Amino acid sequence: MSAKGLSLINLEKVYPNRYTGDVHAVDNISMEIQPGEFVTLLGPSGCGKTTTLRMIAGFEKPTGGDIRLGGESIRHLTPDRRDTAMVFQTYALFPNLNVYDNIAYGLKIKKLSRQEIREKVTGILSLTGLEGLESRHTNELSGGQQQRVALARALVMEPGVLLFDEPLSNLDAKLRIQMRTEIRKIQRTVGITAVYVTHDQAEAMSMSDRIVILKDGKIAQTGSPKEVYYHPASEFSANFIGTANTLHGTVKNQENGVLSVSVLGRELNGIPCEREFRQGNDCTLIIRPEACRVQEKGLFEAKVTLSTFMGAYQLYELDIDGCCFTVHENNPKTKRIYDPGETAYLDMDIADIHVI
Amino acid sequence: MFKADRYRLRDPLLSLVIVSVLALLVLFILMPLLSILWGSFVSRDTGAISLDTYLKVFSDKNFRRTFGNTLWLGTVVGILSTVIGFLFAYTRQCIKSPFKKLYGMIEILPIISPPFVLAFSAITLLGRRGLITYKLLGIRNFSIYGFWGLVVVQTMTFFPIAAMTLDGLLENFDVSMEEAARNLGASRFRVFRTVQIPMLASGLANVFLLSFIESATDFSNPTILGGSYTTLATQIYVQAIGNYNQQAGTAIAAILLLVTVGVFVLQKAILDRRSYVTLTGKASRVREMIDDPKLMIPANALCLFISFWVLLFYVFLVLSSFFKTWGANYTLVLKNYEYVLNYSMKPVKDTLLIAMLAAPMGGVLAMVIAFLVVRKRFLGRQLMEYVSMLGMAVPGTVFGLGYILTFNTPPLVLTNTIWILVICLVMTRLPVGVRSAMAALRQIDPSIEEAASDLGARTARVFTSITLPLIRPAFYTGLVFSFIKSMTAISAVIFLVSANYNLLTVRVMQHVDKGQFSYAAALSTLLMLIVFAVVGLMNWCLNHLGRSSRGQINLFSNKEGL
Repeated sequence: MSAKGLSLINLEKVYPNRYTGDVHAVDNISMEIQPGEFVTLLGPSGCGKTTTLRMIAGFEKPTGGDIRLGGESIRHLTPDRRDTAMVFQTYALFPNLNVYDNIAYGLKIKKLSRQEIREKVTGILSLTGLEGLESRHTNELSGGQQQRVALARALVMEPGVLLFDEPLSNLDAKLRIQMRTEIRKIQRTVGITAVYVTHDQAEAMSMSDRIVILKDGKIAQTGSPKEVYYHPASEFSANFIGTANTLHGTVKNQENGVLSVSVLGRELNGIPCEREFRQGNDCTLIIRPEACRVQEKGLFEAKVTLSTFMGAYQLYELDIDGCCFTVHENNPKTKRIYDPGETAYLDMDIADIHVI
Repeated sequence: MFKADRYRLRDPLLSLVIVSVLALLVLFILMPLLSILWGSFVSRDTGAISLDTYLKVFSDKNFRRTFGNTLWLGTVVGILSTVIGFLFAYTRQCIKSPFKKLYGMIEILPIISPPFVLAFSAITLLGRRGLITYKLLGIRNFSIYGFWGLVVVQTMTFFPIAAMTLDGLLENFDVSMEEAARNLGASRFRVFRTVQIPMLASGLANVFLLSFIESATDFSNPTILGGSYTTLATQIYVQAIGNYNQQAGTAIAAILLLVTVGVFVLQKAILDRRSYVTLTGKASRVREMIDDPKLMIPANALCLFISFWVLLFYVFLVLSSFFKTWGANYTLVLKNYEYVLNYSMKPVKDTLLIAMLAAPMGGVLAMVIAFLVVRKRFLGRQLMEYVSMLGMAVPGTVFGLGYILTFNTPPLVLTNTIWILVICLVMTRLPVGVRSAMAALRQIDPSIEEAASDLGARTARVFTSITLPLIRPAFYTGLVFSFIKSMTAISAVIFLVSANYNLLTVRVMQHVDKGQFSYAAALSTLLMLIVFAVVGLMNWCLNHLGRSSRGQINLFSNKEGL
């Protein structure tokens, strides 16, 4: 297999702008991607994720830094000379070619023999579930099928790294979930290195070995889906991945990695924390809504301001001394449901609190 | 290592193509125009640079009259073409009518016929011994020659282009805007006044200026019908070729060039200033046609009246090619065709050969230029765009004279060869081709080309395997269009024909010069027959042979291109 490692070294893209000052679309990004790894670049629009991807593919020229694929710099190569293959957001299928010829396009440029091309295309067609559609025109395909052709066309090149530019954003919700599972499965089977750009956190969580959260052209956090979800490095990360409640408190003391914090007039003891704090420091507590309960007794007294049945959970919004707090009470079927205006207690396990 | 990187960055073929295209444009568009400007400043005898020629020209009473004539004629024809063009466009797009096919045909006719055919019929029908003026109405001293004759013929020739442009604009308006205005309580007239007219304002101005340029640069009609009413475009030829006064011809050419470039810049400024037209594709819904008889009847009556005259002129062009003696004996005979087929086969063959060379060369060049300008970033990109568009503003006679000045002397001597004709036709038709190719390219998602490049295709391969097939309809349209225009061109090439190579259109003018109108009419009819046949043949081939080519070429689907 030809999977390669990819390194971005102090990568930078500056768009000069006389009026507002230079725009740092990508600002000094460095990362190492292992061969066979699935890395997602996640962030709001304008965070530089697509620019980064397009620099890897060669469509944008970096203004600084280097890109290495399999240890060799590819920064000065034109896109056609790079061992990368991209799945485009709009699929970018060639409307003048049928499915087979779309997929065979790059192989023909590689000057493979007819026999080899046929074998490879047939293999990829069955891998992506496109058998029997070879002679269809691209406008005779459904959205999901077009998506598969775009994937097959990139995969068949067996590139050092496979690049995805928000490939699922044009599909409907159900198909999106189905395709993301499928893409991940194929990527695992083939063992190819993949860089995936999206702004959809569910996609990022479900597919990636590692998520890179970008903000304003800089890396906000890197980590496995679990790490970034349970141990967000900042309020931005916490809010971008999933929903998060934040409470501001003051550190009482820290012993053996266990923290005591005073928050909303109460003292919480035994919070696990690896970061070093000093007594009197300000700190932020991050609590996921599904880690909380609304019940008759608990840590904080609260007023229910919103109570909505969502099926899988009951959505509450609570007011605790002017602080707004969101709770997802799972599987509410047999639980006591509080109505807006009622007073209830918010409770949580101390171990579920993350301190930053 | 760094050097090696730099080396790999380059796409040598791409650089080569860019440099060659720029060289072609500079050599065959800029140089001839510069030599006109240069020639008008430099005295032939002393070699000194001065404004003498201009002073001499402007102090000449005849020139000043010619200058005024050109501007006045352009203005009147511009206004009339805009008004009639708008009437046609509005009737086609907004008013209920059973004759829309006919109006569409009227809009297309002048585009596929030589620019001078209506002048012949004007003489046949309205001349001193015209069938209508003399025979029917018995008017003795009626003269079609001069200002009013030119106004009639030029308006009939140029209003269809105005109509087609406005047609395209109206068609692309989002109807929901008009519906919103109606919904808010506006009367139909109020919608017209407050929504449609403001949105069309710049389009109307644009069409006026276009018609003005067409009229000011028209060579053939003033030659045939002008009489003592002289215009700049014809005076260039008369001075430079007729009177062997090349310097005077050059000075007039420079002045006409400045006028048209000025108008062109003005037109571009108007178009750039604002664009209400949402170019997001087709209008969302079909416009409901006005069926109020108070509007429907007069609008249709006017359009039918004008269409009748246009058709009558075409019918009489064909008929007059069979007249035994022009203006005296209207018996229909074949002797004109016998003569023409005996003595004019050489120009027919030359014209076909030259058009068949020029059309594909121009088509490919236009595609390449559009691709480079739209998709690539390089030094000289803007120069390439502007120079290739320059032809739009350059009168044909100026171009022709410039070619003679530039390519009559070493280092590059092309006069008397077939190539000077081919190249001149390619370069004068370039703007239309480039513009429609650019419009077609902008419709294509760039990521399709990026995908090809990502899969390992070099620029040339991307162009040939993806871009070209995708803009193939535009390419074929451009091909047919530039073939037609090469067959019917006159104003530039009349300077460049030689004993070795003559063209049909020029031959027609030579007959006109000798007063042999019957032969001229016969040749013109033959020319139009050839054009129809070739267009029909090409359409048939594309429909029957290219099974995979989605959509036959619709010659006139690309209205912006015209």
